[in-house]
Amino acid sequence: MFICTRHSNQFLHLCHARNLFAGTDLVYFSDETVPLNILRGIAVCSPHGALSIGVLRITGECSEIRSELCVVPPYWQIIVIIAGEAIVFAIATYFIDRRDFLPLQEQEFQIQKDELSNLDDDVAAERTSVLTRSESAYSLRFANLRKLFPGKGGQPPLEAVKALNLGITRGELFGLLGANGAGKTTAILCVMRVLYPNAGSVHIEGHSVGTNFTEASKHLGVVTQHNTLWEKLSCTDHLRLFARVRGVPPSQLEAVVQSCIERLELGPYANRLAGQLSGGMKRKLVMTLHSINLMFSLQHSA
Amino acid sequence: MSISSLEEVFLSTGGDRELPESADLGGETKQSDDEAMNFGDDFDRVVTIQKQVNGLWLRRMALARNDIFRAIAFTSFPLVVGLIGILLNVFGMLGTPGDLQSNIVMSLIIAAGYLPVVSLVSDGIVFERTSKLRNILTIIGLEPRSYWIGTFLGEYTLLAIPGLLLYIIALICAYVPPPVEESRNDYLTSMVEGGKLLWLLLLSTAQLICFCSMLSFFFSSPRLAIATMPFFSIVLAFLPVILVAMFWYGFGPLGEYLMKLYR
Repeated sequence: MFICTRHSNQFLHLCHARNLFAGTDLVYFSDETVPLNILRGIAVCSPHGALSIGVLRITGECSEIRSELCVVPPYWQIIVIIAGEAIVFAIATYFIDRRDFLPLQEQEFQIQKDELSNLDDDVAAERTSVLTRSESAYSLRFANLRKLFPGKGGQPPLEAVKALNLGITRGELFGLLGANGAGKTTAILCVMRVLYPNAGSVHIEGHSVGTNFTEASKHLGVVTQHNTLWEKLSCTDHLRLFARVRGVPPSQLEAVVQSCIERLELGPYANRLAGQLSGGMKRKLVMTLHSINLMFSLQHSA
Repeated sequence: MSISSLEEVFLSTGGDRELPESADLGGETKQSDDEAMNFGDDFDRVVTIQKQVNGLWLRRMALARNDIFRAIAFTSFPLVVGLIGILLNVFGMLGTPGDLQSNIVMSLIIAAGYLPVVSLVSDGIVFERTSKLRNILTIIGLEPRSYWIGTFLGEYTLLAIPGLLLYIIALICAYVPPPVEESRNDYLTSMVEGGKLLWLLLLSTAQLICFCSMLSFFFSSPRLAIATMPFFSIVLAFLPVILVAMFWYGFGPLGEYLMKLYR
């Protein structure tokens, strides 16, 4: 923290005797030698520094010590700096957070002709169907999805998903099964944008996960292997939060919450905190949360 | 059972898609299955920022209500410490009441009251990120700006309470005769005049929450955030002093020359 004075002839007096108290050192500078305005700006760069300087300043606005505080930035300057910093911090927060969901550039990928001829009939038929129909024809559509993981120790890259073509229509209950390492989880993680595909695209209700995840995610629910809940929120609090995020109108909110509670027999536990629920009840609650006002739900389990 | 026979099972299962829509599925229609899982699917699917922000704000209020001890600590610490700072000055325990020295210490004590707050604000944000709750919310369609606005409003609602109460206390102290003889309270009337203290505390609270939100990305665990944030705030407040001192004493004549160049 700085207090700059015009009365000092020397450049720097560290630990000025009058200010050596409470473990604090106020440093006096001459504005003839130091870029005073820069230092004033730095002085309030910490929220706590700004607050203490601000409080100090207003104690002397109309009091006898006013002349002694002439070196502290005026009240309006401190207010402007605090407001400016709050805006800068908020914008920085938003952009740091948003970088994970910026639109991706989708790249085309086609498998070799000889590999194409080796496809099973049903796989080839699914491929043709998915590639010829529009994105909006399916609730979830993978088109030529490819995901490579970098090779370790000089080994070639591992192709976890190779030209996956799959379409799941609305109302369909689909189980994606396969041997270990087949690429099931990788494909699902690409839907959630936890992983970015090297090529191909994923669409949910016609919205691309790569280029328009904000719209695509409005139709997506994911139940992971872990029960992701707030321990200190009750079942009804959880249901209300998810219903509001999903866009359920306020007039219908309580009806939806009650409907969820009744159908999944959560009645006796409605006001119980999630942290106090049994493992099975937590699982039920998580599944319910991800089914509110939803078109497509991924339930991932090993 | 071999892998190949499992494959046969999978392929046979895939044939279910060929079933007509009206097919009887174990005594229940496909429609009823959908109804059983997709609650509220018949509603107007308009997702607005206002709805999402409202949901997140109410979530913060519910968390405060259900974890009342933490919420009390969160809101009372700045209030109690600020109150102590003001009373110490009023009763002349920091020196002559209203003197520059006393006012500096009082202002530092008031600011120190907000030190634990940065830990608690960061803790909540880092916890949601590391426990994947934040990811889950994003995946179900929560827009990033809704998340941050909702989180900000939730924290701000709670932190505005101590700011408001502190202002009321300062207001009372300003218009009550000073308890110490021959002392003045013009510094208190100066603080509350035109609501200066209130505006300052409310704006500082906003700055503090935004500051915590930005720094939350640097922490990999909530405990680390709790332990580090107050120290980080203190270091940031004194860092300019340290840097300039290092520059001046470290560079010696070169530093002086550079300053001359600047002039």
